[in-house]
Amino acid sequence: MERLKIVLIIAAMVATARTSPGQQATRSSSSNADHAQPTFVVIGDVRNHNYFVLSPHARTTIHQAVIQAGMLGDSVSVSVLRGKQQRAAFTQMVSGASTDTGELVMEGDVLVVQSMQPIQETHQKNAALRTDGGVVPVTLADEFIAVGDVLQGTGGLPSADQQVKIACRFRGRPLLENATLSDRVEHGDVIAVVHRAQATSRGFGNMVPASSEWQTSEVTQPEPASLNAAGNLVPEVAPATPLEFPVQASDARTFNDSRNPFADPAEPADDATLESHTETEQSESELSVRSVSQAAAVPFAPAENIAPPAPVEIAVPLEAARQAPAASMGLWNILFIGGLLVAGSMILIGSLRTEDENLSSESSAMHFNANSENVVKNFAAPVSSSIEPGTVPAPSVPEKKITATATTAVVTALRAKPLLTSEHLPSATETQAWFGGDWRSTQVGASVSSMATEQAATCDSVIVAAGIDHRGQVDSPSIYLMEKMVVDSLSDSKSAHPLMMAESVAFEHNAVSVAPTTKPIAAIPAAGAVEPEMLSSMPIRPVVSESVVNSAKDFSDLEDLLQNRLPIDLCQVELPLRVSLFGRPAGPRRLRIDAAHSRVPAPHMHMSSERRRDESATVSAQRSAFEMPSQEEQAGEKKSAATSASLDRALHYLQDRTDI
Amino acid sequence: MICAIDFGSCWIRSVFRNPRTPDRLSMYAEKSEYALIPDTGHHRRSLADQQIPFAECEGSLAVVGNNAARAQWLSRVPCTPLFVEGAVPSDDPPARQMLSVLTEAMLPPVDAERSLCVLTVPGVPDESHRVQKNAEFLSRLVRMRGYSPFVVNPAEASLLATCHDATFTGISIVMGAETTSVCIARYGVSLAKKSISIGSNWIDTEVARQFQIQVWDEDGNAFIDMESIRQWKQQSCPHLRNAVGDRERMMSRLYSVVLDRVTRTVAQLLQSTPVRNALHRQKLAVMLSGGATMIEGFRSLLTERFIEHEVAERIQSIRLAPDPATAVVRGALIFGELEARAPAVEEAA
Repeated sequence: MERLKIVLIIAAMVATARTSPGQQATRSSSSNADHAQPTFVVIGDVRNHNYFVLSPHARTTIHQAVIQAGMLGDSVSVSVLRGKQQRAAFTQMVSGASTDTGELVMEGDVLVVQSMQPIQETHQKNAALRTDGGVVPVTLADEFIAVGDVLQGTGGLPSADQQVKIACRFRGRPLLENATLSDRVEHGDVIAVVHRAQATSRGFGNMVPASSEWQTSEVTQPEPASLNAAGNLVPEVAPATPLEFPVQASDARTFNDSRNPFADPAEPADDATLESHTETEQSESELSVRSVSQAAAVPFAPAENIAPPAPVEIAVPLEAARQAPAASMGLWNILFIGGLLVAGSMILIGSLRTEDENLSSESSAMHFNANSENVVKNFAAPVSSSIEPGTVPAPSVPEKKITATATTAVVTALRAKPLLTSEHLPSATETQAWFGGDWRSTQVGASVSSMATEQAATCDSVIVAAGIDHRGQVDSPSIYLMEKMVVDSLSDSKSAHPLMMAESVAFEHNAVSVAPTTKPIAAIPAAGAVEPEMLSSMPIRPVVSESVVNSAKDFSDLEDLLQNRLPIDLCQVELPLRVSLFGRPAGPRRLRIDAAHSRVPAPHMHMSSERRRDESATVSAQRSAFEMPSQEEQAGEKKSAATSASLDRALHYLQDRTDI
Repeated sequence: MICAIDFGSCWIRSVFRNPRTPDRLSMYAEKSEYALIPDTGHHRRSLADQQIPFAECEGSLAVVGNNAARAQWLSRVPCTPLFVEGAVPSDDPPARQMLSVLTEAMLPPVDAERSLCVLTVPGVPDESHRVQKNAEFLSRLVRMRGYSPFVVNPAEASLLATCHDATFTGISIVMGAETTSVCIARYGVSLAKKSISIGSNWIDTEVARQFQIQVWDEDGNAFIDMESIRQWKQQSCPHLRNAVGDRERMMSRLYSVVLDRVTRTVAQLLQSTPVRNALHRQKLAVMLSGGATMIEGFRSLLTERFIEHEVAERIQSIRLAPDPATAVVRGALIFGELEARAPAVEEAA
């Protein structure tokens, strides 16, 4: 049974492993990708933020692309995100009157257009999500859209080995290398989901063994209409409906709006309907510019503002963008899962022979751990009674006792498991509220903080791995923990370790507290730590720290300085009225030294011609060492020396000195 | 506190954000010269009556900065530059002390533990001992005020201040009184730069020599009257391409000589390996700044020089900065603000 359990665990993990949003978006047939036209995306201050097709016959410049997208304002700055580069490759100024520099748009470019003047015209805020599979333009229908909202609205969370960053923003806004799901998405942001730098343990081929995915628990979500019914909002226990494993087979439902908890339930997208759709219509439903609104996560907000009508013209490019990694995913997954199933069946057959022995040993173990019967119900699901997450009774072991008995990893794992009972587990609604609404409830409750030990970390790993119900499927608590592991690892790169039990419990309680509840929750140790506004039914906004606001303001000030928009006040220097300095000032440079005629010289007609030449040379040497005569000055000096007046003065000067 | 100070051979300018009005810039601008006044009781009384700050030196009184022009009439000796040929004078101790007084008065008081002051140093920034002493001396003056000095090239600073619409890519030419700096940058990163020791003072001096525009003191010493040349340029607004009279034609020829050297420098920089690798054959915008570029016809004359030296094919446009005189100090302030934000950005990254 142990071997069977391990195989089932691995199979469940593999089946649970969802691909990243970019990988998710690649399930369509590869034939379309081959015929897809190269595209680029224009977002920001443009009238039409969308995909644009690169014509194979004509070269499109950035200037033309921005004009084509309808830039808002007379002059815009265009940042170009190119290829696999994680930052803007370059920035170009474009205006209606400016000349085209000839810089070409390349396939897959993301042009972020920022107007240099305040925009008077009303426009729709937008952003872009960039994954391995392509770029998805996103319409921001609300003021406060978090990164998680965008990821949710565009397909799901990235896997654990992926990292979310804001690769490009408007000027003056700092880039976020490791963005958390709670970070607010601004107009013109380009969110990039990239693989982490460090090597990750991969499965076969390109399959990434992701541990969770954003919408895993939303498969069995109640109808969205109940979300909007504020008065009837009840935190439900995770439904007992078996979770559908996201099989790698090409299933149109993967991207169907039926997976979207915000979709209109009145319009279920069945296969027949999808088949009847034309290719263009499919593009509309699947491959449109995504509109994200956090209001969808708030119970009172209408769902109509979530998905605006999508342009038809962008369908083919986005389809192509989503198809890229699909070919590399399918074969290996099928082989791997098939191999697992074969191995599991063989082990199951072998294990049936010794069922009696195993049953007896399990019974003895259960008897030995009588106080942890709830754990055993889950842990030994195949042989215990059918226990579904919704019917798990309240933990019989008090929390103090759990802490006290947490001496070994194994025992702790067995005793810690009952904490995740049905009452403590978040319902689908709560999960939705936690993921889509409040991103702040990441603080650990005070009463359970003492449990955050290494043993707890160990038992968390066990719980996550052992979270399989009697049907051999991953149960909801484990899904929830997996999701939180991903969220936690994304929110803090330093805490990429498996989620600790204490933290998970605190998360759980906070999540429960977010939504109005009618059920009394037995033990919420962190109830006092819950912020008051979290209990309210008002839309929960992500907290923007003051430093971030100041930083943004600083950069906007810098932008003003760069553009010479700041007026300059010319001030008068306040010098001391009287100051004493030492030394003799050099004064301005003199052109030449002509001593004053102190007295009338004596007659000099008796001088010989040889003596005159000698004295002339002496006068030249008397020049100030400070003055370095140039060639012209030397020429002028010769010229002046040639004149009789200067010669006379020099001779008189020398005569005076000789007389003295 | 972040501030910038531009030690120019003609003007010293400092600029900073006033903490009380952060959306405006406060600027100090003082002429980098001093006037020598005879040290007599009459002169002292005249200066005191007019509330003109002065310094007592050995044998004379000195009036520094803008006040020198107000006290000039008291002396027949023309004003003395604080920087001789773009360098801190080694044989003029009062001038160095006046630089210290001016620096202290033009920099705002420090309000933080680590305040940054970006400064430009006059002269050609080569490896000579003289220039190193210049930078060392001026940095020490800044440090004495409580700031951490940060020396930048004037052309790089001007690029930050003027080339924002060209994505900080292009050629920045700063023509000052004693030095002309050329910098080629791509996206704000300097690829190649060079300074040549020639500027508008050389042109004025040659014009004054040629036309013997001089003044004499009471002892018969002759001095070149540079102030007269500057006033003539301001009042008559000579045009380099439409020169009228011998003096303007002379000035046009001298400007051509200077721009020949500048163009040769630009051509040399364009052929340098970093520029060729980064920019290939990309056309570049030329941004002009500095007081000497404000004369009429400068751009046209430079265009002519570019054509003559076969550099024109690499030039996209030649533009004059909207604030040629203050672009360098403003760019230095941008440099400082970017430098101050760098740790925060790195931390956020």
